[in-house]
Amino acid sequence: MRKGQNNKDLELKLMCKILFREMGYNTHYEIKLRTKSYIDQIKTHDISDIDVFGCTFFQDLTYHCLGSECKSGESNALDELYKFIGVVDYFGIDKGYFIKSKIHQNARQVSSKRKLSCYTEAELRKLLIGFGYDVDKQVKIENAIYHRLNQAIKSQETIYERLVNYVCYDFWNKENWRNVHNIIHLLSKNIQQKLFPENDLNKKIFFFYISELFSIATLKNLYMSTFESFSDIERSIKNQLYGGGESLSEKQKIYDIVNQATNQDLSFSPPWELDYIDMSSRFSNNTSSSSRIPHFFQELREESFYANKVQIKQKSLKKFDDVTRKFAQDMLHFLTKYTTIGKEIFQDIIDL
Amino acid sequence: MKQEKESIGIKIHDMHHGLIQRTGAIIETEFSLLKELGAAIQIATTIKDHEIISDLNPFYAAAGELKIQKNLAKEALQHLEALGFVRLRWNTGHREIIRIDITVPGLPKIYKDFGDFFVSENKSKMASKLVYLMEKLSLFPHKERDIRSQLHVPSQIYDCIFDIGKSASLLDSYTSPIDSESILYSPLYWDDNPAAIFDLLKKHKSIDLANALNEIKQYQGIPGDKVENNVLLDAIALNCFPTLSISSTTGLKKFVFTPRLGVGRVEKALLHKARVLLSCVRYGENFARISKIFSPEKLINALSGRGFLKAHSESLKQYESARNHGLVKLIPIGIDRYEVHFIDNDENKRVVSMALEMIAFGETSKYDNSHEVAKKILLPDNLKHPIQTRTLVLENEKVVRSTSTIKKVNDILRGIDA
Repeated sequence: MRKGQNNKDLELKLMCKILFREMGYNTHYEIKLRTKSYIDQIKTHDISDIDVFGCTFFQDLTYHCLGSECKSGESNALDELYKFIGVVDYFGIDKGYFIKSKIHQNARQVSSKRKLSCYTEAELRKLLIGFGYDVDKQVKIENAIYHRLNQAIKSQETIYERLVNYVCYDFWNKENWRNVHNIIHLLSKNIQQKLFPENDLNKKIFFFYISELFSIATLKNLYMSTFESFSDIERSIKNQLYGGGESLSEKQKIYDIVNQATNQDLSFSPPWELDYIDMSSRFSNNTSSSSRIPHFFQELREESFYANKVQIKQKSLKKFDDVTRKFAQDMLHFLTKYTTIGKEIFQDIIDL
Repeated sequence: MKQEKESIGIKIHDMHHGLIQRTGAIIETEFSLLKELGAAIQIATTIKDHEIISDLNPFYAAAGELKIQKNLAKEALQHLEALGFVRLRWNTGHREIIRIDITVPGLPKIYKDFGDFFVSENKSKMASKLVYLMEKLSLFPHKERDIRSQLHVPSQIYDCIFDIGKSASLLDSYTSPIDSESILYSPLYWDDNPAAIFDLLKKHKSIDLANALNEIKQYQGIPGDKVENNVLLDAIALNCFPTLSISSTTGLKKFVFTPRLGVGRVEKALLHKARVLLSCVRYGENFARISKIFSPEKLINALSGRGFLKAHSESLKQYESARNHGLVKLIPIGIDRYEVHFIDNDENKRVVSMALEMIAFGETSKYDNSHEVAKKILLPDNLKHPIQTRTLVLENEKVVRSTSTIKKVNDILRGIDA
């Protein structure tokens, strides 16, 4: 998320988000790409960003992602396109969209070779009108949703600094299996307990967003597990939870050696592991419903928050089958059981 | 008198089959928790493959098939909710359940958590003594005076436990024709006179025999060569315990199991087949020359889940007994290697789950046919095996055939093969 700076490409991003959502993708804005440099001293550098990122899981849990570069200027289309091609390659995006107010023919020619789609603002508008949108009205709605999430994240920065940093930056740049461990860890260790906790809406939006990211990490893990072995899914979920069978075995060996050296008998697996495997294994039994969990969370986050209340509408719920609702609740029960987030944060969903 | 939590859970499940048939002052007071938990385990194992039950009528119908009345089913569901195995949604007024979200875990956790729950929540001395008694009698029939001395309860409480146990078909006794001793046994586990065991009890104390049996429970299908316990050696010599033989590359080997034979023709046959399957796997685990089996549980899961075991030169002899019992087919691959293919039917699936229970808990839960009937009632239209779901998804993805493919198909149909 871009913090407190003039965001002149915003309208294009919002339109692109509408398009991605129409295509059935779970959408996120301004994903920062980071790397570590070891020259002179260890430093983290932002390489670039993806203006709108869309990801989805198909019915058999196959993962597919889109990324777009949205530029409002009328010149330098080719240079910007070359940079975007690099970003698409670096981040492993399956399909890129280059959106700019004006795109020259040479840029279109290059993008067609790289299987990227190019849209000018007018073309994008025409496309959305074709889908039946009142574009200006929808852009206003998306604008409100965009600022609401930004505001929610910003408001939690002082309280949950590490968590906010993680979901804004590290989540998109780390290996996926680490995200599962890190989110649970950060939710367990960095929640400041107050005697009389305030459950303001910003906090709820923030934790709804974290649940959404956690569901993406879990399903990605499950997607890899189904590849590894569908007949022994529980074993492969465990393997993927540690970055693969070889990596797990290596970690266990090191752990045993440390245990021997310190004369301790500590368990390698965290206390939540068995329940996590059980939950993921249930998801794998009904892949078409579980694939919709991130969409479920996003729908509720974007459509249920008003100025001072949360109201989950039937219209939103009807877009999902009952098993998706149940799986999302399973995930929230899991998070509230093994972290220090209170159930009251998710009460609106748990009570469905 | 320390019992394993898992084992208590299994005993509660087994006792459910007797308790559910009975009612009365003592059963509804002293044994009410036992009855409710038994019903809860029975329901949990029936619904565990589902995600949501939103129409409660089929659920109560299935419970009815399991002889569980509607009110008892509701109480059982509340116990399941307390353990976090289901989430219940009630109507306004909290009178009727309108939806059940199911999160029932695997069998080991079900039995362990229920065992734990019973130990912490039970306030009835009679109920805990009955569970202990059933644990003893599931191993082998005991002399009544031994049991009385081990239970440490006044005779009026013992009489009460015995009466309830007998009325619920959990306990019974007969007078031994050899020494006129009163023998206590459980009709849940025994229906034939275990004469050989009493021959053994002439030489050894019942407590020693119980300890020896626990040794086998830890590793059902223990190879005869590895038995060092004197009681077990005598037991094998007197033919007290089911001992199965498998012959393969390293010669004839024997595998020893606990003596429970099961009740009724069906249960006996299933238990025997489960032991045959486990013996074949234990051979590969203990005596294989090439690529020993490291995890029998995973191997059996792969056999039943994936449907086959990869070709191996020792498979033909090692799994011959399983083939003779209609559990597997042996398919030749190459010159002397055989793939082991599981014969997938309801009976063999039950055999596999019994073999897995033997590995996990050292014993099997009571075979109950009404369980399968109840499961079928609950089967929703959209419940599919994971592999079926994936196949369906793939089938739904339309493949546009090119003209040349269509032409080729037409040619084949017309008989042109050039």
